Amino acid sequence: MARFVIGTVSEIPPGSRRIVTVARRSIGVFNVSGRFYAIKNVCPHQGAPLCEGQVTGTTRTLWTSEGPRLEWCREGEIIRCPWHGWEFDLTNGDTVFTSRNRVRAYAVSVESADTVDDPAERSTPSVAEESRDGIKLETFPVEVAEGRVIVEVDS
Amino acid sequence: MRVDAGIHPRVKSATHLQDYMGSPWKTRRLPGSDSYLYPPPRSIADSTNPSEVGRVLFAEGGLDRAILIPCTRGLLPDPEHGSIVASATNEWIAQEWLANNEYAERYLGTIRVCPSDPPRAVEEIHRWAGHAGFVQIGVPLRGHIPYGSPVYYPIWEAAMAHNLPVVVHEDGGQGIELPPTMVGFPTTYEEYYATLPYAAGAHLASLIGEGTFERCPSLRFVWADGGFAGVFAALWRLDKDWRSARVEAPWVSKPPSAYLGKHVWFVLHGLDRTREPADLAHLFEIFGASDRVMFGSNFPEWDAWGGLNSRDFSEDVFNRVMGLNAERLYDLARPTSKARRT
Repeated sequence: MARFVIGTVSEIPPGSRRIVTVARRSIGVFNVSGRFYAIKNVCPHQGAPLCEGQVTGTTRTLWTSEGPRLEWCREGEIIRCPWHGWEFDLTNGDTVFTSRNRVRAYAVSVESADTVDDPAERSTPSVAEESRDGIKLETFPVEVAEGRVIVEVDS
Repeated sequence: MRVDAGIHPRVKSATHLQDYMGSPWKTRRLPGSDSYLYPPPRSIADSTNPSEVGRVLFAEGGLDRAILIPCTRGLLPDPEHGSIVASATNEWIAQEWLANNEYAERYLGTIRVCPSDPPRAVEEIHRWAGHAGFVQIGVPLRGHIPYGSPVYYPIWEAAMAHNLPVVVHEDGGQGIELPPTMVGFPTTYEEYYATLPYAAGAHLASLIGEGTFERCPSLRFVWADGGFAGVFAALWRLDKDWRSARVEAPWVSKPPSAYLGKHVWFVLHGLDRTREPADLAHLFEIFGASDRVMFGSNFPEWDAWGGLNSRDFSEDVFNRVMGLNAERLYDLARPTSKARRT
């Protein structure tokens, strides 16, 4: 596991992202409300640069007697692929839709300089796993130390 | 069991339906059943007499059961009038076809309802659902609002409550429906007839896209105008883009074609094949359709056909299409506690 410093916390404020190439892989690091997540910059559908997509929210169904209604939710936690609009959950690499496809996700953790010695306060790195339907993005652990954002990638 | 899922009985005279209406409807004139913009070229038989039809279908034809889909008169401008026609149709079928003839036990009826009048449609379903002879709800293929619209929820929920499938078939006569094709009125009968099944694809896209099958998890539809292969192919297209469109319709919780399994059946028509009859077996395989396609002759229309040739199919597929699928869908083998009343 190699560690790459990809910037400082102040350079990637909440709601922004930084796309970097480390260990020959293009990876997007996202600051979602102060927590950092990293995913591979490849859409599992057709290989589009997923991390260039729109960071947004998504819809869920509210059933009424007059039929289904749209409800907006998870603002800032969802990325939509720039090519075909497939939706992924930035916080864990899952698809928003159910599917039999599979994308690789990488865990990302962020640690601040003053908590780096307190494991209990670290964000838990998520590990690439199968999502409920098979498609899952590759995610990478992200750590923040001394105000720097560090991504861990298998080299 | 050999089952024909598409038999069209007719009233013996233009005004016979009025005999089953109360006042003031019995004296209100109806558009004739022959006021049809696209009348079939001919009929091969007279289907007004249950004994005579039964002799052809059961005694000579070897069928065990026949599912009756009586046509009504198209979508009438007055929805209540439409419901009165549907109600009289059900009364006529119950009294003359499901009883009072020597083949009554072999005929199975369709509860006709007028979908532009949901409250009366629901009443009509409750009225007949306890009658063992009626095995499904019938609505016309054409109208003004696709069947996925929430305006139809009460009808579909009543069908579910009685565990009855809904059959959709092009109606007899011309009412105030939209044109039979999406591009307007065709010129000839042939154009009309060949493109008719595509309306089933439009309704199905609506039922899936508007979440009706999510809302009505045990709702079952039977598309009785044939053309299953074209409709299945249209669903592939829905599958292609549903992930991208999910944000607009999050209630579509799975690939659209995945809704077929629990919800969709087709009546197979004679023209649903290539020139080579055996290709049909291949089509069944491509679409995984051999357990959701049911033989229907379309008797007594000009294109009525006798069903699959057993030489072209495995015994298993032949038996499913020619009876077993209908037997399962309509639960025909189960001894019924429902009464056949007249």
